Amino acid sequence: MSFWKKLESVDVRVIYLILWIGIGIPLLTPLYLPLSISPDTVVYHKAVEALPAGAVVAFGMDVSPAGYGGELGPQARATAYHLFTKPVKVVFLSFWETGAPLIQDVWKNVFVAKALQNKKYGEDYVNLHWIPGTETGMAAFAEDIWKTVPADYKGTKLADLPMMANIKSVNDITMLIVIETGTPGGPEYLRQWQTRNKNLKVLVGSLGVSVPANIAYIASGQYVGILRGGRGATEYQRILNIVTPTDVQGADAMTVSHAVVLVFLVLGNIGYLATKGKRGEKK
Amino acid sequence: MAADMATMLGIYVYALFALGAYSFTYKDNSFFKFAEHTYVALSIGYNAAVAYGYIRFTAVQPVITGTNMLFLIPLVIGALFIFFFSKKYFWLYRFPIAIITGTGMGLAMYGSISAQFLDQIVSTLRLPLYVVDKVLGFKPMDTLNNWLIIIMVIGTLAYFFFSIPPETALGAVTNKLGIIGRWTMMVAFGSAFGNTVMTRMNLFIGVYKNLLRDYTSFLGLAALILVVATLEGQRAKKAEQKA
Repeated sequence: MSFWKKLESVDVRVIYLILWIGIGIPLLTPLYLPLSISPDTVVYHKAVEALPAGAVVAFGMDVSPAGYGGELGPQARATAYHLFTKPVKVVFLSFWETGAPLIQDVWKNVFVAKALQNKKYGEDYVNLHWIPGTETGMAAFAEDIWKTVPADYKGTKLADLPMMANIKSVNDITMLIVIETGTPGGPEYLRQWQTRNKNLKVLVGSLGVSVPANIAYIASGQYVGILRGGRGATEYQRILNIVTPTDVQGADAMTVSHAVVLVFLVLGNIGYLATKGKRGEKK
Repeated sequence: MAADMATMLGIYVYALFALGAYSFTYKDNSFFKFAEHTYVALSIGYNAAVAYGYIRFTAVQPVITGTNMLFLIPLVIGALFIFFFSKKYFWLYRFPIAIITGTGMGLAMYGSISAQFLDQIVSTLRLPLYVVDKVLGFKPMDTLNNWLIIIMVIGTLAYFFFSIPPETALGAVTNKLGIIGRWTMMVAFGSAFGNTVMTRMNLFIGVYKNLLRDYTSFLGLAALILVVATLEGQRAKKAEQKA
């Protein structure tokens, strides 16, 4: 068997092992690899930065634990930190039952917790927890928040939360930031929220896998900005200057993993092209 | 001390299931199956508990206290789901399904036409074919990008246009445009695949980071998994030999 033939038929477990080792190295010792900031992340940051004082931001934590543990957690934490450094009102909510408990996990982050010291629950931010019904729930929420969500995550009635006094429907919301794993997510918000409030600015924190689908809404202007997967989260953290050594290790591991995949992709294709003629296929 | 023990136990359980799930990369085994089935059972149990809590607070309580008797209607309709398990009264199960499907379809249609159809078409039609910035002047890359979008949209639409026979002159043009469409879709699928790989890698990095937080649990469990995997491998080999 020729070298190229062997390369083409390399056991997938060998690639997995190389990935385990390759990713493990930066996770044990940060490599501080360079990382450029993409224009999309700059636009996302600028959109949050431009929020006027008193603006109401709905923060949709529509995530699964797997998505949160990978790419979306850092996105959510960086966005929450940024929002808490601004004089805006934040309404946390989730149309994913698995996303709702993770809202409090976001608050526990060291940077977010520090920014939260200057904020008061009920006046500057609230947690409306899980809203059932997926897209139907979104429509109901957009029409009448108070009827759809009678109380917050602790069971406190909305009437006892001063911030909610003037937030009755989607028309009272300035910006929606949705950190999304899948459906329901950004497109459903566009269908049910943005069609009711044409001035609603939408930012999306997206899994890498959903970026190609979401990018169409950026091009049409329906989304103002997007964070592209884990890389987008790292870029945003760097703009906000809230990077911990663990984040650096994560970003390095990401770069190394992509490099390993790329190398095998190139080698596999070279092997395929080199052996194509021998198989009697047209070049 | 109790909290430390609980944390340690949490780390071990996490590591056990994470490594169990990733043991599939070696081969399918009972350790992976246990992790997979436990995960499915846990998520269903969790979702059911959360939904029950919400329904109890939002609908059952107002009915019991008499503050809003109207919630009795959705509660009764929702209860009809149980007839899924009855052959005799299965038809009753169709009512909640019909209501959910009808409401969902109606609501989706309400926003889809505007948000996902018209807005997309309008934004494509509005693309300038010659992009000039007030400060920077002519922007060649943006201009090229807009041209590409328009050509690719037309090409992809042509690929799915089957109404003109290919032997006619117009059909030949549609066919040629369809080739552009096919290339466009291949590029889009390639991009989607690349992004999928990135996401999977990030998920793995997240798990790996958590595993490395506590070396002792990671190394101990890695050793345990090696033992289990070896035993499993031997068992599979024996089974193969028997067969």
